[in-house]
Amino acid sequence: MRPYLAVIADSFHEALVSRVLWILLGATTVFLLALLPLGVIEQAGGYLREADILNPGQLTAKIIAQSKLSEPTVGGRIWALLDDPTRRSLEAKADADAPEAARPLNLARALQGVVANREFYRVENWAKIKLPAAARALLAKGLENLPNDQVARFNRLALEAAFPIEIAPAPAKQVQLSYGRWELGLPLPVEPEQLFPAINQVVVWSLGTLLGVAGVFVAVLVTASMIPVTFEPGPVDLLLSKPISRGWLFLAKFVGGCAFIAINAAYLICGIWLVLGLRFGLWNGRLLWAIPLYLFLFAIYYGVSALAGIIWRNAIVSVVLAIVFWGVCWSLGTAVSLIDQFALTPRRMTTIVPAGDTLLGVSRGDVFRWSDEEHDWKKIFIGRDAQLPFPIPQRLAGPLYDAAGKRIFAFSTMRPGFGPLSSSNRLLVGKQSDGWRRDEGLALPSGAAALLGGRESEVLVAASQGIFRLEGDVAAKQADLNLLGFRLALPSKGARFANIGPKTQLRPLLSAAIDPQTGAIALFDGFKLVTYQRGDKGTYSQVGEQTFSSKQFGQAAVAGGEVLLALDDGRLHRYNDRLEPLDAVALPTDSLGESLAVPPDGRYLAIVFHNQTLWMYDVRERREAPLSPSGQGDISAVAFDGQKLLVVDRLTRVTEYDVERGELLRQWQTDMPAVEKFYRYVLHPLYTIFPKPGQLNDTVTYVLTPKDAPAGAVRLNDPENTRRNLDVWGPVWSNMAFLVVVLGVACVYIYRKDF
Amino acid sequence: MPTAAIDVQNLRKTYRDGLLSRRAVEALRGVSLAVERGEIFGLLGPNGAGKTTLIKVLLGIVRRTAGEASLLGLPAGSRLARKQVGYLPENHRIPRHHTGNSALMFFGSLSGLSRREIRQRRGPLLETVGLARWGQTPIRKYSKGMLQRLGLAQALLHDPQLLILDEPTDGVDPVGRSEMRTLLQSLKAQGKTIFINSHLLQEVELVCDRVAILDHGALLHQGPIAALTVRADAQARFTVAAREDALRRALDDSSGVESRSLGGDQFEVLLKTNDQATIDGTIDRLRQQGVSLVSLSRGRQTLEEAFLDILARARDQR
Repeated sequence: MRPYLAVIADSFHEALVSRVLWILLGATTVFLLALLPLGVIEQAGGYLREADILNPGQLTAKIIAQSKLSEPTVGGRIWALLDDPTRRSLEAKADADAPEAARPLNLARALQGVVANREFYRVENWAKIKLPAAARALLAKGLENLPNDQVARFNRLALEAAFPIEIAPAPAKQVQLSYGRWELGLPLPVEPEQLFPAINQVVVWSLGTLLGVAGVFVAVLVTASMIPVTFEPGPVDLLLSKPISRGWLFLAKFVGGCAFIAINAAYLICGIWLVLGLRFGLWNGRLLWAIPLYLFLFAIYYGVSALAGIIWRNAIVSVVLAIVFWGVCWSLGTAVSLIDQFALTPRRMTTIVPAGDTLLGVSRGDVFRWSDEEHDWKKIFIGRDAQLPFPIPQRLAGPLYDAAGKRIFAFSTMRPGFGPLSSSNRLLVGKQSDGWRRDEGLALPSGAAALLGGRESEVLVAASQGIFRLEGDVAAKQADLNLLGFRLALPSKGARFANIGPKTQLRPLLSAAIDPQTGAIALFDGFKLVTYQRGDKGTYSQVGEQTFSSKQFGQAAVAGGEVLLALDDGRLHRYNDRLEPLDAVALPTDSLGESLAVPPDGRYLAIVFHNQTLWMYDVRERREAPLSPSGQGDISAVAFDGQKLLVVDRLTRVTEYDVERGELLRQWQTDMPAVEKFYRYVLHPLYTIFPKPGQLNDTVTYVLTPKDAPAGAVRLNDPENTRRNLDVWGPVWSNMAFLVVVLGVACVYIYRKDF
Repeated sequence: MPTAAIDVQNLRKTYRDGLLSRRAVEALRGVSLAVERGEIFGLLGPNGAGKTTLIKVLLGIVRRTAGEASLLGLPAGSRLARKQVGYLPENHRIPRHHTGNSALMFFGSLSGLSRREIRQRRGPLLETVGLARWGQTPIRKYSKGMLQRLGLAQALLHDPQLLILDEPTDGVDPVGRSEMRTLLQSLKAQGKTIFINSHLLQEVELVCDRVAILDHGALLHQGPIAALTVRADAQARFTVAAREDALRRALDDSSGVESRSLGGDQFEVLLKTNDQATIDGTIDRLRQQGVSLVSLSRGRQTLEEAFLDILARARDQR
């Protein structure tokens, strides 16, 4: 081991003697020194913003009115402290007839000048006003003894007491960003700790740019010559004549190059960590994880550079190839992302519905019907807005196929999933007899989130306010009322949604499910899971409730008398119909279950996860069902047609399985478009083989962001993220594999090379 | 019985070049030679003869295509064999960030020596190669001769049994060459084997016991320098002291012998052959007639002449 440690130590020695190290360390020092004056000043909350003035007109009027009184008033005191131009502007502002040009005054700025004045408060002006306790406490200390920010705080409190309707209360503290003696921007009405998530985000972004791009480039540039120079004819003869292994010599040299960069990265990141800690009070130890992560990122590029250096023994070639490699990785990632986003995802069917003797599929809010004649999916359910040049991608609730009426029901939600903005307006109806043309039906209940097919062909709507049943003739619709450009839905004449359950006050629903056999319904809003039992008259009563202390993400199903809840904790939670917990089954992946399906007899539960894999659970036997569907990793929808399982993979291919026998029965498959062929057989295999160094930035973001960060942080398994790579450690492993292969190839090359 | 320091049997090396390695260059064509322990052996040959390739094969820097080679009884190129060898490459380049001391520390570590051992050895060694005052100096300030001395020091640092020196006196001044010759003789006296590859035939002639001549990858000659420099068409010249009649009796039956008086009782006898048996027989007959042998000189050629002669003959044969 001694010889290889000597090689690594020699790299340190070389780095220390080299001017490059000192230049880099010097530049880093200058950068850190430039950061050092940055900081936050914690102040007593007194700054008056424009938004704090709730009613500027009324406040102006009051100030002017009070200034005209003979007795001392707060308005009079303010008036006295304002200069003439400000007074004139205020008077003009109060006068509605004054021209706009005469009213350029920023009232908040004018009043802030008053609030900052240490002489603002006079007892006689506040004689009739009761100061709040906080103000009295400050007053008791003596205003003359208080620092400026405390006086401003007192003045602000006194002002709020005088104009409680017009001025919003200020927070007790505020923070002021500063650079040395200079104040940056306006004070922020938050506690310093509340700035931490934002600071973290800035740091993560800065590191991604500073180290992830510029730093790695400089590092590759600086280290590119190390290996080619070592293996040049002069030095290599001397080295290879020693009793050492060629492969280990190369690896030691590689580690030495990494050590060179580690010194710089550690210095920079430790420096930033210290600056954040000392100047902002943000001691985020996670930041130090950026050292190995960015070193790893560098090692990937350096591996390529080193391999090129061994083969061509030329530093310029090494640098060029490392840059070309970066370009290829970036181009591949971009091409895969663009094709996936613009060519494949719009075609991917996320819902499959058996509809009599045919199939219906939904992709980005568009409904398609399988045509046996054309052997292709044909778009149906086309409405009036189909002529828009850029149709807005929507997400449909449904479609729900009504076999008796040979029609489908659906309604659109404004954004994918059931979010707070998932408001919907009208039920959409398409009849087979009309060529499945989409017509708007009656208005939906407030908070409608899902369509459920009840017993006896009932059409049920699950909403946050309860369960509703479609009754009457849905075709007889009353025209909307157009008011100032907004369409207001009026009640339909012949149909209605009857509330058939107890009134509930759930949050926007995340999931709704019905037991096809019993008609029992489960609603889940993330905080609460509620079950309803169907009564004799088709009405529902609540039979169980399960609450969660924090918001959970997941999907529910009702099958075989049990309520099954697949949560993002990677477990399938089983409850009885009264929602008494039974047990929890480990799911095969941490990925979130996106859609659940159960057959009419409730025997099985099929889950399609966010990572596009399908998992089958035998509810009766309480074990995983032994079905191995094809297309795992590319499955986007699942449904049951009777006891047969329908699985969508490869965007639009549907496969029918006999679950009991585990047999493939039938497939509906179209010819693959050229772009998809290119993606599947060329681009994606290349992308799979190539490392994904760019994705390491996601890993860094994940590692650096505290898991309880309230805003801006990466939240895994959030269904509101339409498509996010959930496997944050995946890039690490794939890049690691690539690095091992590159270094292995380099070692083999060196062993076989005649120097 | 100890094995040879270097034993090479029918060694071949073919370099592949060009697109798909279709162009073959034969650098060594079945070379066989042996270097005994404790001798100083010189490897001679024109540029491109394959000398450096042979050395690199011995050290495992280049892989052999066919044949066998061993160093000190160990497979050539093996790590154990390299541990016993000190190598000074031609045009070597020690990284410029080193000082003399740190370079020896680095290369000594590569040879498996501990830091303590290196510290103990490097002082005397730098003294030996004439760099005692330059240990702390960055080597970027070294002259070429100093770099060559430092290269020799790193080759000697781990006290190897076999030294392979490729152009060791390249860039070294005459005084330094003389010192190096002394050092090599001293190492030989310690029982070390020294294998020298050099263009400077005078240097080789002065220090080597035996030489081998390589040309176009083939071995043309191998043997002691003394035998190589003897001219096949040379004459043996005797100076004798005798009476003339005794001299005539001794030489009567000999053909190809001439004599002339040098004055007094001294004569010069010229034997027109360089054949050893004839010389021995002539001496025997002179002594039987009471002739005193004052001196004997045989015609010799320089190593350079012999080297060029052998090359010319080899090229004529091709």
